[in-house]
Amino acid sequence: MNPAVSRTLRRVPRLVLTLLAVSFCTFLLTNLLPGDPALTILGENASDEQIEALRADLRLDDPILVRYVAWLGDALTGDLGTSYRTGQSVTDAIIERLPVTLELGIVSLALSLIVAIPLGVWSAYRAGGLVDRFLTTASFGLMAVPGFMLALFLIIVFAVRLGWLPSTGWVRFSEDPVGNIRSVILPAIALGANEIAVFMRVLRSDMLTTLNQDSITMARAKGLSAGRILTFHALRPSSLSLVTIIGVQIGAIIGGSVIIETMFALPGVGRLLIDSIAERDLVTVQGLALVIGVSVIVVNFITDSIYGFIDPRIRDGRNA
Amino acid sequence: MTSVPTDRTTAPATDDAMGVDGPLLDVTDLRTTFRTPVGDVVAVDGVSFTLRRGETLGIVGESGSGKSMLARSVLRLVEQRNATVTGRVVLDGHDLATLSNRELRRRRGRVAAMIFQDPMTALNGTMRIGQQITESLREHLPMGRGERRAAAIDLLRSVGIPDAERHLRSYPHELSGGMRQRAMIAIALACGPKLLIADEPTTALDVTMQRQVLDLLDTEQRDRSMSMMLITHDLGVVAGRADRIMVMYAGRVVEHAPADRLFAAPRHPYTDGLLRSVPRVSDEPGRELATIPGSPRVVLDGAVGCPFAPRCDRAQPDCLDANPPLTPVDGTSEPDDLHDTRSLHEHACWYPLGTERGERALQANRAAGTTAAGLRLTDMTGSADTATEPTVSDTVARSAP
Repeated sequence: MNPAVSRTLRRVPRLVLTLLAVSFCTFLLTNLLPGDPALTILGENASDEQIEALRADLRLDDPILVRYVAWLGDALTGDLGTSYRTGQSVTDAIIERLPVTLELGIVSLALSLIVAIPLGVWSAYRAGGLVDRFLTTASFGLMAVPGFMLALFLIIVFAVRLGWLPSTGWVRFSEDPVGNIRSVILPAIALGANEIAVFMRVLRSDMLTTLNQDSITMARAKGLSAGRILTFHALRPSSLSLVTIIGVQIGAIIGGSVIIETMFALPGVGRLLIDSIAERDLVTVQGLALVIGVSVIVVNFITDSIYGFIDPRIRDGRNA
Repeated sequence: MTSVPTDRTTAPATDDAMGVDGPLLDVTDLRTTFRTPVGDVVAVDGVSFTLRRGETLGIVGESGSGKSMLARSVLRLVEQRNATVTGRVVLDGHDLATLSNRELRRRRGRVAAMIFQDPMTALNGTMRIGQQITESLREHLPMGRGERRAAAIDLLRSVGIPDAERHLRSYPHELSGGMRQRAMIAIALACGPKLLIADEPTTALDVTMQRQVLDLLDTEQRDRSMSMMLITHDLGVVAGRADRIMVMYAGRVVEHAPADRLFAAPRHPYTDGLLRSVPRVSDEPGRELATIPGSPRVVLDGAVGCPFAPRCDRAQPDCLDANPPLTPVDGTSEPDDLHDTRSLHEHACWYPLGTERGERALQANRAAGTTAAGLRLTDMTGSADTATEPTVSDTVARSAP
């Protein structure tokens, strides 16, 4: 078996444990709230009968572990409960909105990487030069600008003033591919701009270390071109931290999408979360928290597994 | 193969004059400095030498003597922003300073190749051995994919790697230390270079592997009639392998002689110190090895006096005032002989060994119990107390901003 694959398999038990812990914490969400969850959900004007019915439905009188196992069993079969606000199945609501958030996240991640990787590489290659100094300053500036500020700026310039792109709303890809791309560009930039700065800094710093190594001098002594050395000899050994950071930033992107989706009025998961919190729709919030938590963990598991494919020394257990 | 005499200091050496019959490598007044906050650190200080085709030049010195930086400077591989490299390097008839980046690149790996001390860090750990060989071939030679693969297998076999086909697909960390160094040699030799610069090729190896790798280098050199710069801190490595030896200290050449002459009659006290610190089988048991007191220190641009004076048991007041130039030893400087570096013996010392003047200086210092630089001569082996000063290392440039 490929050593990178077996290394990944060895880490599966730990993944399962983490997932269990996260699901339990998510489940506790409803129980840690002060007061009666049923009262919280139904509001103060609810009648005693209503509250009693909900308590029975939520099985609030059962021991907590029994309820957890029952809830987890339902969740594993794809049943995250039913929203008391809309009467819709939480699973359906999430599935309906997930594509929007996924597309937004993937496009913004891809955009930031496409911009950040060449800039980071160049910055390290010509460290201390004009471009590097400009990019360093610019990236600190970029990190200091919150996503929602940038979102406002983008809307004002590109949607309101220039009218090039829509400021709000979402077009499904299946309905109108061009319209879909137009509607994702601004939110993706607003969401990913911070990441550009983060990715660039991380890559630059690792590249600087790599470029000082004998292997690079050796590659130059072989007469290879700068482009080939940077791409084949420097980038790959320098990308481990970048991969880690991408995994970590996925969490930030999901968090950011809550704000960005609200600002651009996109019907995504982040928007659903905000609405559910505002409406005290605990069941939906719980379901969303579980889905988001699990996604972050799984993404990080995947990025961790990528190490072994990037650097053969790691999958063979050296420097791991 | 006979070399046309070239004047080493004022060589007119245009590209035309230096045909294929000229020396393979002619270096004149090579100087590498690094700008640092405390001043300009001189890593290579006006080094000149020539290397004939098929010849082996040993370059010896402690770590920090500038020998690795010299190797990198020759191929213009010093890239740090704070570095300045001046001087002339004529490789195979071409002045490297006049070449475009592209032309320079075409010569690296093809005309001159380099191997490094530690294959673990010098090889690309994320690339298979085979690919590290074939990428040079692809860069420099008009070969098809299959030809490159066949050539890579031949190369791995020629450096003594068993099961070459399988090891094409190995990563460096999957090989043993000796095999890794062999693989690095195969990579360097891929395009049939005329000059191989070997920077401490055996330092990272077990003693048992050292000899094998050196013998391999010898064989490859003979088979390919390659010239070699063999850089080491260990005089034992160059003994019997180098035609000529250059001893470096603080970026300068302090002694330069045919190998047998250098071992038989060293002139510079530093060379003498290095020779006496090598253990010999003929030594009586229990003999204490001689050491050179102190350690090399950073030499800043504009420093006055002989850089070795603080560690030298012959140091006199004038050693502290003026840096001795590299001068031919009497008897090797007849006019006809001057240009033929094969018999030239040069040293940079005011009070060299084997001269009356030098021995008088040593006697006077011993009588006084101290040298002009304040080194106390406590016993005959010369181990003495000196204040510890910052030591220079080959990486000084890297730590500089």
